[in-house]
Amino acid sequence: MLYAILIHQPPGAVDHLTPEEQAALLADHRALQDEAKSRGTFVAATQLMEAYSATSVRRRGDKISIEEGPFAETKEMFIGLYILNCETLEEALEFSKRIPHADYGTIEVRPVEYHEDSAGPFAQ
Amino acid sequence: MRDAGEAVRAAYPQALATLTRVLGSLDAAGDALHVAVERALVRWPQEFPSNAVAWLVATARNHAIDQVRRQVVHDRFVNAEALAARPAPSADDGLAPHLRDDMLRLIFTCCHPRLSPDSQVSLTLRTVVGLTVHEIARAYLVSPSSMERRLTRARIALREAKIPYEVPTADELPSRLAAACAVVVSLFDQGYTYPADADHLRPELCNLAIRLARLLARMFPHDAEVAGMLALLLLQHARTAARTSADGAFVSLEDQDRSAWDQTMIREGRALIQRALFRDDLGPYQLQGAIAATHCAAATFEATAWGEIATLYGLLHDYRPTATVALNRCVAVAKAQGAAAGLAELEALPAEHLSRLELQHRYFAVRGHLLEELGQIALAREAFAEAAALRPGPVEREYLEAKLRALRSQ
Repeated sequence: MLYAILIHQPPGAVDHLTPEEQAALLADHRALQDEAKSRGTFVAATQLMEAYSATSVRRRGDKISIEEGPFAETKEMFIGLYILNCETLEEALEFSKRIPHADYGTIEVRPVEYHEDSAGPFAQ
Repeated sequence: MRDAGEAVRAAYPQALATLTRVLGSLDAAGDALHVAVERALVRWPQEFPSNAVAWLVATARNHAIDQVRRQVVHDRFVNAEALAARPAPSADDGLAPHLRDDMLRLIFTCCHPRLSPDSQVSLTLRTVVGLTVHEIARAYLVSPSSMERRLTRARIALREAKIPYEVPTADELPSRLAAACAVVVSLFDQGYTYPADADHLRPELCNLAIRLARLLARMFPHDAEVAGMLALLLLQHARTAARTSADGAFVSLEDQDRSAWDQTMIREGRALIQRALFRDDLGPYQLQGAIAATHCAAATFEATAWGEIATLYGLLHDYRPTATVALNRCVAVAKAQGAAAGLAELEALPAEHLSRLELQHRYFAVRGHLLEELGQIALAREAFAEAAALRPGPVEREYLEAKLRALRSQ
C-alpha cells in the first residue's frame, strides 16, 4: 500500500531555530530518507516553497481566475510530503513519528488511491 | 533540553502584540512583559509551559492587573475589574484567532508614516522582531545607551502622535502596507548599501529585513507587491557573499564570482517574480525584483538580458521617476544597443534629474565610460574629471582617479 505522508506546520514555525538546528533538521530528513530507501519503502519526497509563493487557479463555468496566494489561509500550511510503499499503516506511522516537523505541526498519513511514477526530474 | 532564552525570544513578539491589545498600550505591554520574561527565565528551565506565548501573556496580564489594583485604591478599582473581565486568552490554542490581527496592529503601529523613518525601523526591530536593545545597537554600530535613547524618543513620538493601535481600514490598507514595506526595504538597504563611513556590509540587517518581509508575505499572501518586495530582497541578498573580496573590498556585479551566489534564495525569488510577470499586475517592487531576477538568471555579466533590463527600468520609471532609475536605464540601453544609443538616452535625460547633486558624479562617470567606448577620449577625460570633482565616496574616487591616469596616457 502506498501512503502519502503530508507535513503541515504553522508558517514560520522553525524560523527561530539557529542555522545549526536548521541543518540538523534537514539531516534528520536525509537520515529518514536513507533508511526508507534501504528498506525499499521510499517512493518520493517533496518540499514545497512557502504558501505565499502559491498561485491559485479556479474555473467556474467558463470563467477562469488565477490569483496570488494559497487557496485558504489556515493555521497550519502544507509544506511537503513523502510517499512510501509500506506493508502496513503502522509502518507508515512509525516513519511519521520520526519526522522532525511533528514537533511543530501535524503529520497526516493518507493512503494513496493512484500514483504514477513519471521517473521525472526528481526520480532518484 | 530546550533553551529558555531562545523560547522566550521566539514567543516575545507574539506575546507583546497580544498584550498591547489586552492592556491598551505598547508601553504598558512592554513593562508587564518585562516582568513575565524575568519570571519565565527562572521558571521555564524547571518546567516548560505547553504554550510559551500563552504563558507569557497570562503572567504579564496578571502582573498588570496586580499593578492596577495596587496603585489605585478606590475610584479606578473599576479599571482593574474591567481588565479582569476581558476574556483571558486561552492557554491551549496559541491565541491563533487573535494573533494575526495582533501582529498586524503591532506592525502598522510601528511603521506608522507619522513617525520618523529612524523611529519606525528601530521600533519595529524592538517590538515586532523582538530584538534586545543591545542587539539593535550592535547591528547599527552604535552604543546601547544611544540606541536606548533613540527607542525612548520613538516611544514618546508614538504617544504624542496619538497613533491608534489598530489595523488600518480597507481603504487605508494599501498605503499603510506600502509604508510597512518601505520600513522593511530601508532596513535592508542599511545593511546592503556600501556605506561611505564604514568598510563592511551588515548582512545581519539584511537577514532581519528578510525575516520581516516573510512575516508580511505570510500575512498578506495575496498581495503581489509584498511578494515582489520579498523577492527583491532575496535576489539582492543572494549575491552578498560575492560582493566583497577576500580583502574586504567592494566587488561590482561585473566582477562577481557568480558561483558564490546563494541559489536557494535565487530559486525562491525567481519563483515569486515569475508569478508576478505572469499575473501582469505590476508594481515598483515587482519590477525591481524582476530586474534583480534578470541579473541572477545570467550565467555571465556579458550574457545578461540587457534589453529586458532596459525595458523593466522604463516601466519602473513610471512608478519611481527618480534620477537613479533613469540613469540605470541609460546604462542598460548602452549595454543592449551600444554606447551611442546609451549616450543619446543620457543626453535626453530631463533636466530635473541632473539637478540631484548626489547623483551627478555617477552621471558623469557613466558619460565618461560611454564616450571612452566611442573613442572620444578627450571628452571622456573631461567627464571623468567632472565626476571626480564632485566628491564621490572614497572607493569611487580611487576608481575615477585610476581611470583618469589611464586615459591621460592614451
